[in-house]
Amino acid sequence: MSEKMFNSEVFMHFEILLNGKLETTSKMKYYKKYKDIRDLKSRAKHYSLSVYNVFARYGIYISIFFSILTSQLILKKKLYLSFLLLKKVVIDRNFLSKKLI
Amino acid sequence: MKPQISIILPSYSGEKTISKTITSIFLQTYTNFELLISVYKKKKNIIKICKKFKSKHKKKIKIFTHEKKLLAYENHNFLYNKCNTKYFLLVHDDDYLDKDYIKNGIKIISKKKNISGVAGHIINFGKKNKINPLLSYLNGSLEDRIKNYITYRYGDFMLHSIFRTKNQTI
Repeated sequence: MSEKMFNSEVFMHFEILLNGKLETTSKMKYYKKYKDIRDLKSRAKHYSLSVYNVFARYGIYISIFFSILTSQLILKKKLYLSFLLLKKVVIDRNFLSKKLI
Repeated sequence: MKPQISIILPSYSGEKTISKTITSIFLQTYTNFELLISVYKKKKNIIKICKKFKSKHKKKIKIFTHEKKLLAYENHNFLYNKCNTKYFLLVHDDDYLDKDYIKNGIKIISKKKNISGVAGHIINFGKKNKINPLLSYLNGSLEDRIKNYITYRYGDFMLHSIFRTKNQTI
């Protein structure tokens, strides 16, 4: 197994989750510097992943969106048709979901 | 006298803040501890600061230098495996402790032998000042605990608390 599996952090977390024996007191105070890890770069750094790995998930959606947009812009004539198609798909999906429920 | 607790301090880029963290450690009312610091070899300013402290407290500080850049978890692991004491505490290079942090923690963990760790308040300072409340819900069933862990996934609370070392685990 990889070394990541035996990460000390992971060990601690599992220890607590499985045993559930973590005592708490209000007498201990740890002052931690606030870090915002919401943006992609810092989040990737925090979890020791490459930015591309994190970005890949968003990238796929964005590429699909742009491909649809460009195809519609180039083939203006088919714009109306594609719109109709989309509408149909949406209607069908709604119908299916209702049926399933 | 053999130290009871080893304080782990993995550092990477805390040149400005590390002296504050080390001073907060040596201002502790509980004094029977050892401090293990790991530093990347090219961070010479950090090594300088650490050596200054070592000249004052020779027996209490151990400094480890690395030729390769270690990731955060690698750095944690390295120091964690160096612990020969009963308990350990992880402190990052830009944080600091309250004066009675270790004293109060060891009081509880040495009395109650069923627990694996002791945790307290984590107070954020910097851009947003916020106090993370104590997570008493950790005492529920396993499913509840996992659910709570996922929802409040920020692991700081668990990381920065006094734990038993591997040999001492229940």
